Amino acid sequence: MRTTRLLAASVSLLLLLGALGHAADSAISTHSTESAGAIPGVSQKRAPINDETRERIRAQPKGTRPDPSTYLTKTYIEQHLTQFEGGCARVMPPPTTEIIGPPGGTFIMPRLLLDELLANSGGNLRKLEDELGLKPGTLPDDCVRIDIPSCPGLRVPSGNEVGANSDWLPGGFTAGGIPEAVVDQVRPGSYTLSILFPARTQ
Amino acid sequence: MTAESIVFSNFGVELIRRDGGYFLRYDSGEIVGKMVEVQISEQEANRVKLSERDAYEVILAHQRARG
Repeated sequence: MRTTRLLAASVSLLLLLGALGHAADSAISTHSTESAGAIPGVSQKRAPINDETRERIRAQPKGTRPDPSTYLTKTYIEQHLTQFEGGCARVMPPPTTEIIGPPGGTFIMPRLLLDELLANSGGNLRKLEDELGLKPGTLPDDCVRIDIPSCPGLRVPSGNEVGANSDWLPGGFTAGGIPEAVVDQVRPGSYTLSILFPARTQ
Repeated sequence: MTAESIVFSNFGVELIRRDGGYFLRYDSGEIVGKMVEVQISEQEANRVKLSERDAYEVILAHQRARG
């Protein structure tokens, strides 16, 4: 159900991109594949990487994984990254440093998709957690969204990033089907920060 | 209440001195991030001050050690 909503949100995002005049067909519709996911009967968005290659890359220790350009086509990479042309965003607790993201850069999602997920949540933090595939109670009441208009150093994740956890999959989609990419650490003045649910912090 | 002091803040990390030890606090870097804190050695504490790359290597070493 959750994945279905995420896919619907992705489709909405693509429609929005189309409305904004993005000429290229979406990476999702033209290059990613629908395959059986971990949840029986639920399909997930995945990059066009066969299972053997995917698992071989995942098995390599973080820090030694290959550059995505060695197993993804240039066309796929370019089209995947067009999803972030409207800006990128992420969610986090109130940051304790002015620089956003750990050394090496941070994972982000398309800003328009986060807008869509927030709209779907109707201002309900628990519902947003569900939309994002998180366990209930993961997000603190005072969590913030970081919007990054310029997406510095935008690239497909290699899996060597600090934020690449044990669920990471090669190809630019989370296990739940959310398009993801990585940007360099974001400097003050390059992002805006806003509290996700102001009413919960009062 | 344990007293702590932030002895270094740059490259997106904070180096904290607490109970005679060094702790590194950083953003997990996921789409939905969280703050992570790990205890590090004095040698590692000196290294994270050098550059973003060095800080990355220290974090990576701890992540790999945890599996």
